Amino acid sequence: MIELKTTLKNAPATAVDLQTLSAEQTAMEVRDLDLFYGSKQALFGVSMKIPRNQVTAFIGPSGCGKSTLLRCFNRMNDLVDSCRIDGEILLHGKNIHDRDVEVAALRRHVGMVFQRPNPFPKTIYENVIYGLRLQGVKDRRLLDEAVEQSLRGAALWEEVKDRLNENALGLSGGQQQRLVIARAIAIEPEVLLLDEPTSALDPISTLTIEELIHQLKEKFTVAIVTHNMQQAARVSDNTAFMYMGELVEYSDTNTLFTTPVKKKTEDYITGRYG
Amino acid sequence: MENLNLGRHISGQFNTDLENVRNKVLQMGGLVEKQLADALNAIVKGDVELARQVVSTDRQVDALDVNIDEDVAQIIAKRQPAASDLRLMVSVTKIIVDLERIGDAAKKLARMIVKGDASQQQLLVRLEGMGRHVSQMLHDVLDAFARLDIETAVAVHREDAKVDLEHQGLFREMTTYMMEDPRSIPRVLEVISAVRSLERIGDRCQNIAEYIVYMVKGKIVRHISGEELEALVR
Repeated sequence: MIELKTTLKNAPATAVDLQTLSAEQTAMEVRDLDLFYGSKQALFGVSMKIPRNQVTAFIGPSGCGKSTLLRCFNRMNDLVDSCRIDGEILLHGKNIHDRDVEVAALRRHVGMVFQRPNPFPKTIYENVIYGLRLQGVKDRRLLDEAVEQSLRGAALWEEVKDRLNENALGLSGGQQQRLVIARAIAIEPEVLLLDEPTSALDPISTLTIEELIHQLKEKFTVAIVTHNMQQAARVSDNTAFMYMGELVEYSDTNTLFTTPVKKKTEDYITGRYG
Repeated sequence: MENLNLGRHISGQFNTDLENVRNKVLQMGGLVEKQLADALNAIVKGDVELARQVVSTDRQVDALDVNIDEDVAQIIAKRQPAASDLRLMVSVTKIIVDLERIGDAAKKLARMIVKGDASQQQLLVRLEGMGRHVSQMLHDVLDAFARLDIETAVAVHREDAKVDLEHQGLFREMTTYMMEDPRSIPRVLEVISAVRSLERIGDRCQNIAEYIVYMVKGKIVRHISGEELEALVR
């Protein structure tokens, strides 16, 4: 009887305690992260752990810093001249901003997919193996295998297996986005960052990608930024709500969408004036 | 989290939709409350005409029950409510089930007056005290719903223990009648089932109190003791 009560009370089995995550369960960790664009501060003391093999969603109004934070995870902000970062982001316990960390090597571990599908004007095949070619892989058999596996992983194989040598730009938007995901997972990163991956897609392609995200977490850790709250609720295990550069609330998705603790979170997810 | 302010949605239409559902629940609650009060008055006065009205009002209650269910389904489909809005929707679908059943109980009492004889009516009058008691609980719990007032909800929850005592008292009394005069057994058995309905109304008010606590606090408080409940909402 007591056991029954606990199961009734507790959150689902996937939920992990985000505060006390062990090193083994943690894919990446952010510690006291401040970020400035010139004199303007965009992130304020963000600290969080991203659990391994789970989907973590970042939500919040435009300009809240969610994309900025996601970009920090593979140092995309390095490209912005005026950008300055304090605090740490740890991958395998090592700060990715340390001097001896090579950006190219980091991005092999942490891949990224953007809002608009950006396939290269090459064949579907060449698009998928682009990263492997950069790494110097030449063995045709290995490359063939990687293409099939990655395309299967991105739920695109059945649709394109007979036209791998056609130009990727001939694919539909939804297919192009899955191709880009295939390209990102071909180099087998640990973490996959998705920056509004479906905002340029139609509802059916969106559902395909969402289904794909579910499958991706078996092999990868996924962090996704989305403007679509229902999407965050559907695809993620954990959700972080950000507001004006601060991490307001971070908890398992079921809790955040039914009983948020903070008033700001409540107002945002129910569509009330802040 | 205790900011169940129904207004202030960016979408004014969403505000209106939620407010409509809430008003309909209160309207349904008002009808059921009147049904129960009228049924008790009909018993006390032996007023068959009033009892008939109680029976016919039940159709309006049923219609609202269906109508509110449809509204909630539409809001869920179109607005994907979250957090407190979602809890309001979930609670409403449950509250109206209990309200509808309370209405049925009132109808059952009224039917006894319509069909019953004078001697049965005399027995039914003995139920008045308990009836007024659960009637007050219903009134209070609807008030708690309207004002999202969990203190009142918890007070209603506590009240049910007293109703249970009254139930036991009446049950004993009715048993005595049956022992005194076995010919009264069929009549008294019917009255006992009415006592039982009143006792169930107390339980249903208790359920509604629990949904209100869930709505406001986000905690599911069914299947826990009264003391645990009071500790949780404190």
